Amino acid sequence: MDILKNSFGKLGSLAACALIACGCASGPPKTLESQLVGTDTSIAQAEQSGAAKGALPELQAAKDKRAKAQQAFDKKDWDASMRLAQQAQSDATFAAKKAQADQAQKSAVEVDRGTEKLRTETERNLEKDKSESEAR
Amino acid sequence: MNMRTGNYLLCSALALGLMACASAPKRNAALEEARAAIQQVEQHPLAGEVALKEVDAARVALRDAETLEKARKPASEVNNAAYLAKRSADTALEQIKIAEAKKSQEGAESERQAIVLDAREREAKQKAQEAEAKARELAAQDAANQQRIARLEQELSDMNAKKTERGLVLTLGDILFDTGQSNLKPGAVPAIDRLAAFLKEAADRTVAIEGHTDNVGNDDFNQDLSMRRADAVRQALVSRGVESARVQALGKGEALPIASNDSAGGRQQNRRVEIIISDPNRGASL
Repeated sequence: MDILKNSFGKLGSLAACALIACGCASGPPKTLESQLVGTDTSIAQAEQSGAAKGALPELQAAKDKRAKAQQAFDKKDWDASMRLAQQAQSDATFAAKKAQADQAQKSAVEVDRGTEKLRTETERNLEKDKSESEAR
Repeated sequence: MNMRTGNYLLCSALALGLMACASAPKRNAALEEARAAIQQVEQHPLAGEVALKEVDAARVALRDAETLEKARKPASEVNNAAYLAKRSADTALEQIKIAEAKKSQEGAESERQAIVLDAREREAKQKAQEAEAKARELAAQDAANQQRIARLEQELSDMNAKKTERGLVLTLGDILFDTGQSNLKPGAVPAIDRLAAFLKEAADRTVAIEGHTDNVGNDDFNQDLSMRRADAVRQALVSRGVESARVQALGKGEALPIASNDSAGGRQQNRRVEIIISDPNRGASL
């Protein structure tokens, strides 16, 4: 019994030591660091896609969450930092797509309008030519 | 245990139960939202074609969220996964919108090309019809012109005009003038009228009027007389509306007899005015 107790105690102190060692030596997990880099890339891409024009609230949300992820990182709250960074990236990706869709829709409407205009003008010209040649 | 303590415990139990009830839907709200968003995007006919990657990402994230919830992980973790799932679904929807816009644009562009092509075809057809009509009209006009000129030439032929290599030559005898005079006699009027009418119709012709005399009298007088007579005919034509630039008057004197001056008949033939009408179609010139 004593031996058992003793060995449990040893194990416990070993585990405690290991935990402390981990806590002291561990900087942020590698996955978090690469997640933060990925988030920054996605935000930059969203800005390049014109998200500041087509999806400003979503872009802003991404930036706010990225800033909060940094704050959590600085407090060594790796889990919260990871979650915020992930959400920031998903917001940025969404903002980029939304801006692109906005652009594509506008351009489609423009082309459609141009085509409609061309059609009416063409019809009018042909009618005019026809009546002119008939008058002659 | 007294009543008071019992009530207290009951209340606590109720409160706990309420908390559990209140927190359970709160925890599921993000998940429900993600599920609804994914369902909506999955229903879109284009989803599998253009947004497969995004839809798959949304499904994976949703499964993560559901696994975390089953494992009774903290709400922050479940909600995070649910949020990522929802955002992937949102992104998929935008991807579909992009594809739709592109399709619509392509449709409009090909329609535009069709319009341009169609317009070109119709225009070409219209132009061809116009050109054909114009050609027909010109041909008809040309035929009418030819006919009219032929008729006028026939009239001149009736006046004894002769076709020569110099053109159509109309010889008016000495009936036009009194001896030694250069005033046109009234008898000359019908011939001049017909000539003027012809020249006005056949606008491309020019005319040379040559005066000739016999050899009676001196050369200078005859030269002068032939000139004045040619000029009188010219004036008569111009006064009937023929442009003066088209009419040239020449005095040839007695130099070009067409018969012998030895007989009265020959001299009468030599006293004459010749009207030479150019014919541009036959290459004749003065």
